[in-house]
Amino acid sequence: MKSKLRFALLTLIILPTLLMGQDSLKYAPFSKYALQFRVDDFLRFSGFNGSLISLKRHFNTHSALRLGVSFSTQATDYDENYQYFREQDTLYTIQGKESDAYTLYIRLPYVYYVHPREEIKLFVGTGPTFSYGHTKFDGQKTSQGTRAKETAKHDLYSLGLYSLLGAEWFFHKKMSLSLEYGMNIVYQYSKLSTHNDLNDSYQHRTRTSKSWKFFGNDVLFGLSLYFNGF
Amino acid sequence: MQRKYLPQSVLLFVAFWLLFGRPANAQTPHDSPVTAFHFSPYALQFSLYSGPKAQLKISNFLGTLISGKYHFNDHWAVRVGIGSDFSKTKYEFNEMSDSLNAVLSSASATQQRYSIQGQMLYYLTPQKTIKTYAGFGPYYFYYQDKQSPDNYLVRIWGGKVILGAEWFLLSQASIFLEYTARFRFDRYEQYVHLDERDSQRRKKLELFDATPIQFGLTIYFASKHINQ
Repeated sequence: MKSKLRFALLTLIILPTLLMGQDSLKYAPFSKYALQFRVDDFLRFSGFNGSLISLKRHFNTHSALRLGVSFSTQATDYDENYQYFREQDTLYTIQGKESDAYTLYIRLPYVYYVHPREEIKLFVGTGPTFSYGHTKFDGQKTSQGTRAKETAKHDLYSLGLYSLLGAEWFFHKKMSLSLEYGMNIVYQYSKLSTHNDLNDSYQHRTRTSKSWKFFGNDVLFGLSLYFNGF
Repeated sequence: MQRKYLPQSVLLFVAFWLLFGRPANAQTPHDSPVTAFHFSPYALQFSLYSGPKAQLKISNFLGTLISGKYHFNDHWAVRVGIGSDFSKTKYEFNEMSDSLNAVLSSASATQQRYSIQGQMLYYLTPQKTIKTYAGFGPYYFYYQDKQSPDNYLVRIWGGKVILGAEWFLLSQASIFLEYTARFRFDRYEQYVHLDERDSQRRKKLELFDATPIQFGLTIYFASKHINQ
């Protein structure tokens, strides 16, 4: 049943392309803008260069700028009071926890199409990549006779250069599929600090790390939907 | 288990074939094409494989950074894959408490992974619809994980012999299937710092084995097609 449904959907998507014929698509000019998606699986997509938005702007048939942005934030806050009995003592515990986290990721490569008139268009590109992540945790616990407080904070900065090499093929005059290899060289700075208070004593720890990293990406399989303006 | 996923795999393959065009676009269905076929000189290569739930997946072919092919003519080509990961990190620890003023310590870690492989290919039947080819070439893999004073090192080198077949879906895109036999020489070295320095070395020689069949996609570039 599931396979039949998939086949039906697939036919609906591909049939117009087959009916249209591909000769007219060989030299499909780029429209001004394109929304880009990553093909994760059959009919399952995600952001191409960023989960919030992944957009491409063509200046001409050779040059384009791609922007990928990811942003997420999360905050939790809860209090918990409970009491329990042990032998003849009654123990009260009050617990509070608060945490927040956010991440920002930006990638802005300039893309150059080497042979834009070819049926399959080779492109190369490079551009900056930046990310920042922050997490903070506050916890406190008050029990009979003891008071403990814990704070942890983690900041992570990353700045680097992203380069790519790929190929794009139009299966419709406004839609294309692409495959690309990518590589990154980044400098990363991370700082983790924890602070513990237990009654009148405290302990403060920091751990910093500085890294240089060079690595290749997974091959990106993408779908671009072109349009001329907003 | 494989039977369960077979229809989905076949469906996805058919979808891929439909999506990537029609063979008539690339060449006539007969073995004697109307116009002589010539390879474009440059190509990018990708690997196609089935994921854990029989999804069609695409990944790098011979290297994580790039996998390309260059045709000298319609019979001879060379393909190269390069992979690399490098990471160097310096850590600093700082501690303060009411009983301890400050403790400062630092450490460093380096991880690096490089791979390179290249193969010379000879196309036996470049003018046929199904282009068969044979090839051979060396490969080298290096991995080091160093967190002072411990050190782990792997070096692998060897060679591959290939026999495959390629079929053009479009004038600039083809799929291929190939058998690969390889011989390899592995060398592992590990130094672990315990109470006193300890070292361990291991060598392993594998003369010959067969790797899983490779299924891939080649995308050709350059407007000028080469002549023999």
